[in-house]
Amino acid sequence: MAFDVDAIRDDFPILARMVNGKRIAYLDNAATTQKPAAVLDAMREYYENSNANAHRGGNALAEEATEIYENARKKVARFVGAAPSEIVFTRNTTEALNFAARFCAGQLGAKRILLTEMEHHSNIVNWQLAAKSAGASIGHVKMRSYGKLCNEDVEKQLEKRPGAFSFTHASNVLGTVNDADALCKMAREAGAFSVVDGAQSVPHMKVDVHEMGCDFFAFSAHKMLGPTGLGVLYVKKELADKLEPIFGGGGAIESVMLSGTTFARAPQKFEPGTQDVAGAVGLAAAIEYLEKVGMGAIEKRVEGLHKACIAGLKEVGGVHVHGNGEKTGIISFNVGRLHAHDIAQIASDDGVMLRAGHHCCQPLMKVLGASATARASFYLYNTEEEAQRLVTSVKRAKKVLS
Amino acid sequence: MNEDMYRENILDHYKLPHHRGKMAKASCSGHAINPFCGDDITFYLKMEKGAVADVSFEGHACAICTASASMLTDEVKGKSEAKARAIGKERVLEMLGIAPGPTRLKCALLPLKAFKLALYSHLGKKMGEKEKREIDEADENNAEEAGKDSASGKVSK
Repeated sequence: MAFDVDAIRDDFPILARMVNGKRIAYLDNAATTQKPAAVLDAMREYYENSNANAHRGGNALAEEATEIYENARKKVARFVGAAPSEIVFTRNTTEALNFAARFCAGQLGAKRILLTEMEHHSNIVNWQLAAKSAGASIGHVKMRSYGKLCNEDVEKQLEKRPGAFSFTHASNVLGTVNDADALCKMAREAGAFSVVDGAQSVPHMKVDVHEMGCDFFAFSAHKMLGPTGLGVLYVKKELADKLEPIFGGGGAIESVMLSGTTFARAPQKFEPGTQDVAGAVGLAAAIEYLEKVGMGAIEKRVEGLHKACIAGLKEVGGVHVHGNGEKTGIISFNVGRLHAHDIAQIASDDGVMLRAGHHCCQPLMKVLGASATARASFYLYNTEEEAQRLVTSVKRAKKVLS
Repeated sequence: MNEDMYRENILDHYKLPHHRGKMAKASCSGHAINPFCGDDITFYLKMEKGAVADVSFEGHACAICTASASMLTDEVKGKSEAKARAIGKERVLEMLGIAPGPTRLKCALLPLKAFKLALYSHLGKKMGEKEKREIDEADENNAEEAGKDSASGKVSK
């Protein structure tokens, strides 16, 4: 089936937005994606027809809400190749990674943590906090200048016997994809639990957590057409059964006595308090949408846009692209000595939405030797024309500023 | 609002900044960083007879920040301590002639921060609460990505 981008764009009301009298070209998808009407409708439909407190009470509506919530979980589980009981809903990837860090450095007893230089702050600061309270040390795998990890570096670090190895599946700055299967295998063989940050990978490629062999895997709904406020932490079954919850409260228990509590089974024991049912409904609708278009088709589409944009940028002259983000549609770049903020500002005046800054990755930026980069990131609803508008804006920025 | 952010006066100062470079025998200096975008500005002052006898700045920054620093050097040179102290956010924005949004406001005001830090380190005084708040105001909108600003001023012997 041909990829009908016009039909897809019609599904996203915000793409008709005008800024400065120009139609927006939304190229900040690595930060957050736009939402199709199907997702917004599903959430509204839930609130209008089925809203009640899931996992509380036996009234008809509460049972319906519970079923809707759990069906959403099943859909998410199937999408990433997990069992529903292995899927814990969180607020976002950051919260999921914080949970993973505290599980590893706490109950799982990791005294040394291995990270990489290409992590988002959300996969650095969480470990620093967890390691501090557990008295654990932290090591880092070097990032090679071309934006990838090298297996030899990883092996060398694993010889120091870390209890956990956490790494990003795809870099939010460079868009490069790490070989998560191989890295998880290496961690396993070295006796380390593996934690994978999948925020940038799940929206763009078929992920199967069982095949990958990770122990924890985190991602966010809002980067894959779903709503903000909902994230997912996959916890491998044998760990999910064993681990005790970090936060306690209603709905996560089996029985509470004043002397102590026995907990519900996973995943409920990790989800105390009223849950974001509408968010889960939105994520399920987003997954349905992605599957309808087809993950393979999306991957191909994004790769094509990436290629076209790179070709256009190369013609501008003086544009330096960091890494290779063809699989994730990310292009992080600098133009001569121009400041990334000026480029993003001028592009924004043209209606082209970019991101500029350190992208919450200061250690990675240090390796790149740049204080800030401009970043364009594509998704299924973007067009070649929008890629060309970016190129035109970069040309204009060069002209205005030099 | 942003349409004319890169107006001629800003671009002129950006392309050929005034008083750019390190000052060899400065009385004092002030350094301010904006971790949100990596802007990094240092102000050097030569204080004589209670006035700003000379001024320079160095660092790397975006066009708005560089232009703001350049204009500020013109503005403070020759001013008495008291008059230099009185220069605030309004004057900087007036010189730039733009009304930047919250993100770029921080770029615009970073040089003022570096300048004031230098001046106050020379005066050996603490900044008044009002002045401090005025300089820090732009930061509050950017807590999300940046965390805290780092800045320092020092007196040269």
